[in-house]
Amino acid sequence: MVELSLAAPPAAAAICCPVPQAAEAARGIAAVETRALGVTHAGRPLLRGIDLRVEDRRVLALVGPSGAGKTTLLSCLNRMIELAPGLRLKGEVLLFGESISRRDADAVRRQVGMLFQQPVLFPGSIADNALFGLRHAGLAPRRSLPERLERALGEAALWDEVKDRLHEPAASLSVGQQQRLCLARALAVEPRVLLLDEPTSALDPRSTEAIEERIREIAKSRAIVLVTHSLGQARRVADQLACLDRREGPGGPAGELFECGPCQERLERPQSPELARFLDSERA
Amino acid sequence: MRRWLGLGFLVASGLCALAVLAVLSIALAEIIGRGMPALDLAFFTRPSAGAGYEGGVLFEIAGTLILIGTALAASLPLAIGLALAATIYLPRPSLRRTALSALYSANAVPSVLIGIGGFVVFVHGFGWGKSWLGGGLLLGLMILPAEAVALIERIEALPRRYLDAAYGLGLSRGQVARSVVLRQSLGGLFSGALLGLARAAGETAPILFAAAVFSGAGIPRGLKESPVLALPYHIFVLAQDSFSPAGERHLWGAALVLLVLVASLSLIALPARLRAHEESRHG
Amino acid sequence: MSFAAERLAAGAERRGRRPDALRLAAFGFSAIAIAAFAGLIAVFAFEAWPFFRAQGLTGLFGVRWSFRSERFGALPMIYGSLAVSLVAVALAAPIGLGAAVFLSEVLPRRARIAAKVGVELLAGIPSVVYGLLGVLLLRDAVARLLRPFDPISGDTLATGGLLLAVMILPTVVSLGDDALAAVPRGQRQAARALGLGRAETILRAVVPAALPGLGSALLLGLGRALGETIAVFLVIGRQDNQWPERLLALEPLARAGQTVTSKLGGSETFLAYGDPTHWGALLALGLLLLAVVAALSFAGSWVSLRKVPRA
Repeated sequence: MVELSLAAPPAAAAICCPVPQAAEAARGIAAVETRALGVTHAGRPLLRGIDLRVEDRRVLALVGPSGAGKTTLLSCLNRMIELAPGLRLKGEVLLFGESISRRDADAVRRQVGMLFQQPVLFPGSIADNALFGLRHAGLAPRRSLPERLERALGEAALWDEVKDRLHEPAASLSVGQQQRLCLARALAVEPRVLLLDEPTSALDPRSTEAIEERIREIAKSRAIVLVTHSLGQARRVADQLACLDRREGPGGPAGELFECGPCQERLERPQSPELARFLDSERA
Repeated sequence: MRRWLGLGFLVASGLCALAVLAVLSIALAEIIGRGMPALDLAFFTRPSAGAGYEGGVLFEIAGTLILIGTALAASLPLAIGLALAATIYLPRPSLRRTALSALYSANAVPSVLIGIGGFVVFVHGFGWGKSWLGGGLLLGLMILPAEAVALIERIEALPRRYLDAAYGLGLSRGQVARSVVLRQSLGGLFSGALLGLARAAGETAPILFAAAVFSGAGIPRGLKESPVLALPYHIFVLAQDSFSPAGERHLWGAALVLLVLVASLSLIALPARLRAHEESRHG
Repeated sequence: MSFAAERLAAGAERRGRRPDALRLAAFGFSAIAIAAFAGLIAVFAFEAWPFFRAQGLTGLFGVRWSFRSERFGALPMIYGSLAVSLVAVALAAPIGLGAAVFLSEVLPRRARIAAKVGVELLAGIPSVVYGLLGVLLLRDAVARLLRPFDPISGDTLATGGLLLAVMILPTVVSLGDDALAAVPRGQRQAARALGLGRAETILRAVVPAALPGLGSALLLGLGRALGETIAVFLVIGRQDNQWPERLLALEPLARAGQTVTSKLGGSETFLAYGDPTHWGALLALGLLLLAVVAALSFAGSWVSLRKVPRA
């Protein structure tokens, strides 16, 4: 039973997903591409045969029930999966055409940023948190840090709210602001791809709206993969849709990709029974 | 460059761990290596002789066992009382940190001060002279805080649903304490008690003033002026003088026996404690 | 427990059930336990009073201890205690915390459990056995090591410091590991996801978050070192009045000395009982030791108990 949330979309959602800009549509190289990606744990498969393509400057929504493996898939894209013991990878992940396994893992993670479900703050001030990655990557000269700070916080639509209290503890922010701070932190190292793992599931509707609006803005210059359990959010924010669910196959049930394509089109004309069934129950 | 620094850091921490391991290994190797030759059946069954450097350690072992048995009997009811009062009868979350810190501080009281206190109260105040009971009570006082903390932590780790279910059935606090809390947290009490015993067995300072003598005592009779021999005190006195190689072997043998006693008591409690510890990792 | 259940229980009790015997026992035993510790403090205060009345609060702060001339200057002993304890912490802190980092962040699960068992074993070795190791092994090694300083024997403050360092290592490692393990996993993940390497994550994210707990590990180690009697007694030479000409020099460490604990644990304590001032001086010294160790331990525990564990 596919269980996606029935978050009621605001009235404007009748528009569904925005149409991709025609000029950039004909790109050869995808921002992120996986080929026959699989993950096993102690011999049992968790993900199987994942062929995913994320276009640059587009938002891809990855939807599916809990336990399907969305977070697992996401962590393959920035090599975070290597930090979990006992998991083995098959297949390839390409970042702008280059295999990420051949590059330095830390460099990959600077190129492919990640935002988690719960905001994770380091001890320290707002400025400390926002600049955390930038400072320790040693990429930017100290002189340029204040400017980078303002730019990152601005992209996260947080600058106006915190510019007068940059040295206050980050923990004094509201949850919505904290998540935007994490977004700013991720953006500060200037990644070309951003992975968002259910970034609004812990937030109230207003903060959710703020983040969704930011995602649309950020996507103008980056590729975004958004894991969400809300079809409404996918409708509002995403260009492409991909569904992940556990299906039977060699080795046992494992996460497989289906329904990949333009978001608006797939939601109006679903090709898989699961998605169709779910859209029906959502409409009812 | 940063990569090498990072690697260097991890290697340095590994070397530190290796150093700690080395220290442990050397210490154990020395004790075991030098003490084993002294251990034969006679060592355990004969009393000490020849100014203490010869013979066995029969009465020293007996004395130590008497002392820690007394310590256990004295401390356990008090520890249970403290733990129940702190968790069931008077739980005040605002005071929790203070109460636990106070217990940890009590646990850290230097044992020599406990010994001197016992000297004043038991030896002179009560007029007991050097007595096994005084020593046992002092050791009990020393291990009491640690036992209470172990029990408190175990009680706090109980899933709240057990308590809710019991209270929901209308059981009073005392009944809940008896039927649910104590029963489920006996494991914590058990391991806390064993660790307390291990510590009590090895301590010299508390019994230095109030209970132990070096020679001339066997199994104590009565309460007043009835000291005991004890392994730690035996070793302590002998270590202060110079001695022959044979005496040195006897000394290491006594140390090994003490170490084995302490380690056995600790190791019995180990599985339960490790389990509880690993469960609470990475909160 | 849940609020509703609590009210139910309290209400039921007030409605006149039989007085709970277990409750009485628990409170009674608690009172006995608390009274025992309070009594200990009271004994010390009471017995030290004659000394304070005779020589005032600063009577202990002289440089010469000579009970025959009624002089009880304990500064050399206080120096001795501080010297050996600080040497011990200075040695044990980097090695112990480094080992804690390795244990907590690098070792896989099975090896970590084995390592913790080893650390517990070290912690359980009785101090008299450490003292024996010090007497029979460490003394000669230290005498050889300190030859440039021309020591009389291997019984020196440095020996005491070295021995204490070994004794507090397990405390530092174990508490340090606890502090590091308490840092939530999300912090490590977030740092790695930003591109920080493994060592960087530990140094920049985990250690800063664990700093209070690591500090308390050192405080508690220091308290333990200050309170240790038997092992120090056996290797320190027990020479009174070794007051160094220059306080922060290394040279006095190569000589024998006396700590507060080695004085209290010695035979002078037995002998002093009949003389109120002498006895009072020793107990005043004990009171000082008690206050310092209790304060350090309380502070260390307070810091490490920051979060309430209940889910």
